[in-house]
Order: sequence, then C-alpha cells, then structure tokens
Amino acid sequence: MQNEEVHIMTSAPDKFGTYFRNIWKHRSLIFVFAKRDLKVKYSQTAIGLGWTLLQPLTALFIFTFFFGFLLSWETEGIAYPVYVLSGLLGWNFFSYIVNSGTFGLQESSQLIKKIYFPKSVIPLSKLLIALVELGISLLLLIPLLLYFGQTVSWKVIFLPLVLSYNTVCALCIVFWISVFSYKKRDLLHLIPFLLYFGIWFSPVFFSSDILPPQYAFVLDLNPMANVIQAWRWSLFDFGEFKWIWVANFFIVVAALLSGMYVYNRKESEFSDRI
Amino acid sequence: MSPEIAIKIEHLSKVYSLRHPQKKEDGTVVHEHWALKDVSFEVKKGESVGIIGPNGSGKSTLLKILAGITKPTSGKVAIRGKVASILDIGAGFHPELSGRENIFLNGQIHGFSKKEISEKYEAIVTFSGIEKFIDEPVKNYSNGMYLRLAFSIMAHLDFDVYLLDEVLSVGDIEFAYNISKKIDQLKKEKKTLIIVSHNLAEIQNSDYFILMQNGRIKSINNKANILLDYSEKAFGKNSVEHIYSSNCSRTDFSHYKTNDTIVLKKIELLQASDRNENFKSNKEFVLNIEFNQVDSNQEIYPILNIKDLDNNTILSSAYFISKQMEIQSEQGNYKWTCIFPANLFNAQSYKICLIFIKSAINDRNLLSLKNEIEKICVLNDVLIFKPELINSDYDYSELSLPGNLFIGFEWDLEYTKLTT
Repeated sequence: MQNEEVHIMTSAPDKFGTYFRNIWKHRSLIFVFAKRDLKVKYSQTAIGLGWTLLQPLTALFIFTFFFGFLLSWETEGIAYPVYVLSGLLGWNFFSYIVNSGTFGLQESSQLIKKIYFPKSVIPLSKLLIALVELGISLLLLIPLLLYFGQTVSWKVIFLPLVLSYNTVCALCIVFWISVFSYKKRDLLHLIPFLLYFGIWFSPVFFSSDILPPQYAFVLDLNPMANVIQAWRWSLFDFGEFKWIWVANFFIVVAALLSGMYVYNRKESEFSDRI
Repeated sequence: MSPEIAIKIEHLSKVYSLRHPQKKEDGTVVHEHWALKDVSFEVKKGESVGIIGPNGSGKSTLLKILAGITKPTSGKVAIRGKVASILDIGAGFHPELSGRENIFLNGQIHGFSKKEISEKYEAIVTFSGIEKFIDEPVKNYSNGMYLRLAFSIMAHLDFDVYLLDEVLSVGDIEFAYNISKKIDQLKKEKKTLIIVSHNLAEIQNSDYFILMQNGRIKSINNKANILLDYSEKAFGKNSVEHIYSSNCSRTDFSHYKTNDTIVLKKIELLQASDRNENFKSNKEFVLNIEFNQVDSNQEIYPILNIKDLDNNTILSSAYFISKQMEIQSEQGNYKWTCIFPANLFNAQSYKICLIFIKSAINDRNLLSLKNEIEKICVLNDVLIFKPELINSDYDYSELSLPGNLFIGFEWDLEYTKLTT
C-alpha cells in the first residue's frame, strides 16, 4: 500500500495552516469543479461559450444607448462604450464570484454530505470560471479599442495586481456570507440586492466626477469603486493613482483572511446543516 | 498507532442540536440528540467489520465521521491510508455530464489523479457493461446503468479502507450479487472494510460484528448473540435474506408465509467442492428447497424455471417428468432436492425462479390431472448464480461463448491420414 498516511480526526477545528495545506492537497478539485461547471453550463447550447460574450455585449449596448447616446454623459478622454466595457469587466468578474460562490455550498450540498473535501475549493473553482469568462470578455475590448483608436497604457503591467484586488474583494464577501448563511439562509437573499444596487455605487457606467466634490469620498469607501477606477487607470492611464487603493487593498485582504479563519472553524458543521 | 491497526476509534461521541426542541413525557425539553455516545473500537488491517443496528442507532453517523465528512463532538479517530467513502453510490455524479466525464470527475473527487483513472478506465467501462452509452449524459441512463457505472468506478480504484453504507440495498438482485462478489474479492486482497447495514445478509461474511443501539455499541464480536438479538428485534416476520458466497447461493426465509399454505424456510444451491471455489459448469448442482406445509390434504410441489438476467426463461423442470413418486399431502417439514446435471450451463448469470403448485386431493382414485391445480406461490429471482465454464483442465469462461446453455453432448473424432 503506497498511501500510508494517518488521518487523525477530533472535535478540534483544523489549524489555520492545515486549512491551507488541505486546499493545496485538493487543488486539482478546483480545476475539476470549474471544468465540470463550465461543461454543464454550456452543455446543450448551440454557441457554448459565446453566451459569455452576449451578457457584457447587451449591457454595453443598453448603457451606451441610454447614457452615452440619449443622455450624452461625458467621460473625458475615453469613448463612452470603451469606458463602460472597462468598468463592466471588473464588475462582472466580481458579481459572478459573489453570486456563484455564495450559492455554491447549497449547489454542492449532496456532495458535501457524502464525501469529504475542503469546502473552500468551491468558491475557488468559481473564481477560475470567472477568470475564463473574463478572458473571453476581454476579447470584446479589442475591436472596441481599434474602432475608437484607444491606446493601452504601459500601466497595464499592473493589471494582475488590480485583478487580485478585484478577486480579494469578491472572495471576502463570499467567505463571510458563507459562514453566516449555512444555517440561516437570509443573507443569501441579500446577494441579488447587493449586486443589483452595488453597480449604482460603483463608477461602472458613470464618471466619478458627476458626484458633488463633497460626496466624492463615498466612492473611496466602496472597495469596488476603487477596483473599477484602478482597472481604468491600469488599462488607459485614466484618472489618478490613489494611495487609498493600497490601504483599502490591505483592509480587504485582512477581511478575507479573517473570513477564511472563521470559515475553517465552521466548515465541519456545513455537512450537518446545509 | 501500531502499523497493523487500520482504524482506531476512541470514545467517540457526536451530538446534534435539534432545530425543533422536543418535549419529553416528563415535561423536560430536549435540545440535543446524541447520535453517538462513547464508541470505541479498533480495526486491524485487512479485517472486515460489519456494523448493524436499527435505523437511528448511529451507524451512518459513525461512517460519516470516519469519512471525515463531519467532526465528532468529542473523542478521536485515526485512520491509516486512503479511504473510500461509499455512503451513496453515485454521489458526485453530475447528470449533465457523460459517463466518461463522470468517471474522471468521480475518481478525482475521491482523490485520484487523471493518470491513475486513465489506467483503469478501460476496466471500469468494460465491467459496467455500458460501452455503447459511455458518451451519453448520465441523465439519460436507466437506474441500473447508473448504478453499474458508479459501482464500477469505486470497485476499480485502489483504496486502503472501504466504508460501505447499505450498498446492497440499492439495486436489483444482479447488482447485489456483483457487489457481494466484489466485497469478497476486496477481502481476499486484504483491504480493510467497514460495512454498515440493517440487513444481516449484507454483513454475513465479516470478520467481526458490532451491534449498535441508540448511539452506543451494544455488543461486539459475538456473532451468535448479535444475530439472535438483531433478527428478533429488527426483522420479525416476512424477512428474506440473500446470502452469496462463491459456491453457495442461498436465500433464508425466516417465517415467510404464503397463502396460509406453506412457510418457506430455505432455498439454496450448492456444489460439492471446497469452500471458496466458484460454481463450476462441469459439476452437478444441488438445489435444496425447504418449507413447512401448514394445511393438510394438499399435494404441494415446486416447478423450477431458470431464466437469464433479461428474464427469458431458459429451461423448466418438475419432478413428474423424470420420476413417478408419491407426494405426501399432510402437514410437516418438506425438503425437495433437485440435481442439475453437470455440463449444462454456460459462463453467465442465471436466476432461479420457483412456482409452487398445489393440487387438492379430492379423490385418491382419480388421476391427479383431474384434480384442481392451483399456483400458490411464485418466487421470482429467488437465487442467482454464475458458474465458470470449465472442464478438468481449463477455464473457458473468458471465451464468452454464445448461447444460454453449454451442453456436454457426446463428441467423437475419427481421423484418417490422407494418402497421396
């Protein structure tokens, strides 16, 4: 017998280090689940992954038509469709992870009750799917950039950092909601609200300077507003770099780690309760 | 933990808090339920343990803790090696994915690498017998195909410890037969098995038994006591047990009453051979049928049908064709014996079905045909067996020769050398 490892199980929750080691040990499951979900999502569809393009595309048309064309909102320096799409990329990425990540536990409840695996691989697999879909949506940006003659800034090298910021924001919400929603599902009902109204508090389709200057700080408090501004800053050198993004990033990372810490302590109850 | 111990359980308890507190008769309110209370035992490598007990006795909770799905409230478990938790056959299958995709998905969920699964892939598909549909989504599978595939995956991947929860009760008789064969094989391979069931037959061949009741171990390793204890409490009447080992196929009926006419006791198929040898086509089979006749003045006799797994009748037999004999008609214990000749069966699965006929004796002087004949009981699929197609030197089973029977006709050869 090759695998002679001894597993010890007691009432004590795993140490935080073991928690991460366990996720690492089961990392292949992240890919397996992501692949499964992608296959299932696009099985029995004619255009498959093409649907991933359609969602930002429709949003792009609607926003451009109403705000760009009918209301002729100004977005200085950038063509309005490019402005909206660059905002949507970050927002959709966030919204997919939050939505599918928080409902993922319920979705996999049958599996959770029958086989052991670290539950954290579920939101992480959703992150992987979000990355795939983001990659596809980025293809949409290219013809737009060519058409409007928009150049990409050298600051695009910071995009991975912006993406991590974006990811941490989303996962932080997923982990905290999960630890509170596996017993009582009320918080899950909050998710659609958060995602419907959140977009209005983030400069996805409006420019941040339509707010009166004395209220501009409100946007600074919203991590997703920062993320979306950071996206545009990195892609097009649009707006100014703000140190508050860095401060905010560390706060969100701390929130994510504490969320994972609580998640680890509660994880073994999931199978009894969901 | 010493290296020969596979599982060590110390003072294991598990409490569930109730969502709706229950009021007891004496007025106290109960907020929690002790699913397990101070359970301790050890399992050595290569041992098989049968855990039995009524519903709600804590068997499944124990398995869930061993599988790591839930944590104990107190106590400690140590398990050595890779654990297969087969708490539900087909858990982790996704209906939208094809059989092929599900093989890989399931294997990977159980901790195997893609490469390890690829190596077993052919064997899994062949064993499941659904090559033709392997690229169809499993939602289009019949229940039987689904179970066969799921079981085939678990049977071919290589674990150290197997946790099985009521696996024999999910499928049809053929499925149960395949699983019990597989369990026998795992035992021969010296795998550690924990089998949970509320059906005694399922755990028959375990090395030792644990009887659980109300979250506690009630008795351990005392087969006779456990069987007695359990069969009285949990079974009661109308219980039927299927028992399969390699050269004996038996169904025990404890008080299975049919039409107030007979009480079936036991139906078994045997072959004179060493234990742990498979049924062989080149030997005689002995079918024993035991029952008690309850009322008198009836002649009761069985008619035998042997069917294939698709329910086509292959042959029938009854005593009156081969022999004229007087049948008793009074109350009492009856044991019929039927010998199947050697060199008759092919290497495939057969089901034994029995029809019990009664003819009332109205007038001894009349021919029995004129008496009223009535079917009193039809036992479908009472036994299943699969012989090896064999002669004294060689096993021909692998040839998969066609035909429902493989009969030893007389063959002769005359040879003359060609003269040029």
